[in-house]
Amino acid sequence: MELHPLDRLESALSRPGNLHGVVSQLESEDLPTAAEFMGLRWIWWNRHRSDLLSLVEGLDNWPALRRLRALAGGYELLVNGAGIGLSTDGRPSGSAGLHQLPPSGSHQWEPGGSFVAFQERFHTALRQGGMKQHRYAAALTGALVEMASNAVEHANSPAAPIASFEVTSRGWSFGVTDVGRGALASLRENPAYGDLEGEGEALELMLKEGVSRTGEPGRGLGFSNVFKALVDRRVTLRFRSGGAVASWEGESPTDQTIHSQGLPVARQGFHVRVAGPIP
Amino acid sequence: MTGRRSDCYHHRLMMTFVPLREITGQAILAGRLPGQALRPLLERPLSGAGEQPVVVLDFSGIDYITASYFLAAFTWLWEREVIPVIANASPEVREEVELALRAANLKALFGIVSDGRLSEVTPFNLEGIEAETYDKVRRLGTATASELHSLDRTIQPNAWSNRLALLYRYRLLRRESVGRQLAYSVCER
Repeated sequence: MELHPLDRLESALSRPGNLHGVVSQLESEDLPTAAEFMGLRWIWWNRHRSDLLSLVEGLDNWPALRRLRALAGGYELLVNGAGIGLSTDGRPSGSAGLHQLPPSGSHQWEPGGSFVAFQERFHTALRQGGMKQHRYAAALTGALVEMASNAVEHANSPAAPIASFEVTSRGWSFGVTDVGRGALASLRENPAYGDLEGEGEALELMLKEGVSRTGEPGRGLGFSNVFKALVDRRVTLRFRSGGAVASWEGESPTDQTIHSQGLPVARQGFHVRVAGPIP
Repeated sequence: MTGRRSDCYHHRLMMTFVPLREITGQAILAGRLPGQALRPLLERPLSGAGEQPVVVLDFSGIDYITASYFLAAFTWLWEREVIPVIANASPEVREEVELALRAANLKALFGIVSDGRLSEVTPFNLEGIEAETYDKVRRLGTATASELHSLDRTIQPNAWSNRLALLYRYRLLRRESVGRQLAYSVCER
């Protein structure tokens, strides 16, 4: 599995020659990736008290990062360590959106709440973007909501997780990013998985149906909704947790293969991004 | 909940109709947290719905639901003295609801609601003697353990009583005292 540019970014910083190539690859990325990049900046800021962006911008690859920065502009205050910066969704246009996820129990999750409005906007963007298969659009929307709800429930993120989507003429994507504890620490809360040691192993396990932090009946079904939505489609998935990434292949939640891989530099949080063409 | 949404609930005799599309304003119901957020919107109107009401969850207009949402929004109903009925679910919605019910080891009734009338009610996740007992009560409409014993004397009244009580605990049958006996009835009755 080829590493994503964001997973090579930190290690490339120590060798600026490599950094040039890494940053240029970000040019074609989308809003969910921009959200993950902003999460990386938040982590970098809290770890080193310096802004990753200013380091990277020192090179001559500004256009790529400028695009990412424009896409995820609402994330800026989060990067400055002042908490959460997003007060509205809808950046930068009707076909893309970022939403700072509300805490559990917030009225925003209720019918008529702002998260529900964000969910509706993704669905509308898919339909207006040319997705004619109504059920597919509904399934993708449902998968986004499942991932968002999961992040709020399980991440213990010091900054609110961010859900995002973008629909263009080339295709659609959605993602959820948090800077929380990741799959390993989360799953270890379940005594059945207390012996887990590796982030990769935890990530593979977490993606399986019925596996959850709580171990309660009926929990651990969220990712299977993502996979069900994607069966037989030309889509790409990216899962990252701590220092591991995972890929998924399969035709159903019970017929699937998940491979994980370690990263050169580990960083906190969980990220999922799903993207595909408009059928 | 707004006053308008309160008006969405239709009480008819001991049935409460819950038009989910109208109440949620959505055709796509997903995620555990949105499911949890729906619960208080259902609890308040049901608190005045009488004893052992049949709660008809009308899925008309719902295009998609996830198991997480269903479990967070509705499983508390099985802990109350109500008979939940899942009505007008599309095949896709029903498939996901069945997944949720199996995961939570719950039995449930599926049915059709049209013009305020419930029909074609069938139990889900029921097998063997439990399913046979439900069928016997359905044919009779209402039955006591003694009445079932009079129909099939190979099974003692105590055993019939236990089977009926189990179906009641599954929230598939209503129960009421008739003299010294307990009478069980199907929800359409």
